[in-house]
Amino acid sequence: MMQKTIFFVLLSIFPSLLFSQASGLFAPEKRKAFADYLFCEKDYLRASEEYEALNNLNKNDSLSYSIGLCFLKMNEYGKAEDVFYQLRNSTLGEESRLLYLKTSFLLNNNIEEKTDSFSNQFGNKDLETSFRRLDLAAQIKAGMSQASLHSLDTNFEGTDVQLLRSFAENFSHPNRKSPFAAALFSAVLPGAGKIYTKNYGDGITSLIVTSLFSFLWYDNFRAGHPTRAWIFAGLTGFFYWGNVYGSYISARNYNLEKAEELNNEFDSFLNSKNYFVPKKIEGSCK
Amino acid sequence: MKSRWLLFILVIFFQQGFAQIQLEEQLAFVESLFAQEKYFDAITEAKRLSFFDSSNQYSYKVNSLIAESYKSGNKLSEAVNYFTKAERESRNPEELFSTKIKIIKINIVIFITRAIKDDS
Repeated sequence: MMQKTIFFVLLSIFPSLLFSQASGLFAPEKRKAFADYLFCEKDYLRASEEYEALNNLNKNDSLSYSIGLCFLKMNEYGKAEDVFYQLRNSTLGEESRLLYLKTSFLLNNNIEEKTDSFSNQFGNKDLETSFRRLDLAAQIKAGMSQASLHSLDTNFEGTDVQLLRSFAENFSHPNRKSPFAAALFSAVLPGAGKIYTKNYGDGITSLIVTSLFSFLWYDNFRAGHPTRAWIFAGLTGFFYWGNVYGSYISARNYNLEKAEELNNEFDSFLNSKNYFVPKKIEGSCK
Repeated sequence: MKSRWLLFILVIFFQQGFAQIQLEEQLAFVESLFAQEKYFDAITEAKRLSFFDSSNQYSYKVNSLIAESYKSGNKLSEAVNYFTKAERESRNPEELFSTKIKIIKINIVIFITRAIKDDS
């Protein structure tokens, strides 16, 4: 009887010992739970490391997908793009294709060819809608044609349509300043080109400096000081041509600044609306 | 019948004991990482301990270690965040006082850093 009891006790304790060893804090299912917790806590770097450790032990699409999401959340779009591209034909293919397009879009890559090859590859209605919206956003950035504008009405809702139309208008007809016109204005009246590019301070300074040196050049000639006159003539020429070239550059900078401003405005609008990716495929946290 | 109940309680007791040992080992691991100045890893392992410490018995210690690691890594906002968590979990007036002092110190540093940044 005693022997039986001891045997039974050992038999009961042994599995618990074994279970304890196998289900330590680093057991795969516990690591997965911990990685999900880190993801929901927005500690994406550590979450990605945990998912990668698990993926190295036992490769699966769901873990790779989670790694891609972590990269996306950390704004590591290049790495996220690679991961989602690898998964494009996996069990999470539809979601991955959409996220691949989204990351490409965020990287400012041209996605027109990619959207063409991925069209009609979304069975899920939500994903299909997101895909069409993403395609339209890419078209807006690329300078949407008037003919395509009506498709905004069918794919977006409410006041967003008007806003997107105005974005489309701004992208296709950007508020640009001609660098040649700026240079020409400055050639006629020093500083005028910079004022044309709304660089008022520099414009007025250029006008004053060039005028001052011109006056000194003229005044020294009139007073019979040819050496000084030539020095001021040289300085006048230097500032005059510098101001013409500066106006050309100023117009180019103005255009770049405006384009970046518009891009940022458009991106922040899209981010605020969380378009393109249904929330449920970007990780489910309570 | 009685002996079987006794056995059942024994098994549960052993399992609890092993879980406890695992958490203690993990805490020692976190402390060793912190001592080696491997702050990133220390934070990861401390968060792991915190996640599996369902009874919150190491809460104060773990949150303080995470906060200290963030502080050493110059992530002051996160450090304040975790010191605040530690403050909530403090078990006696000494712990509460020392945590509050640390939060105040870091907030002063954050304030000065911002002022310098705004000035320049």
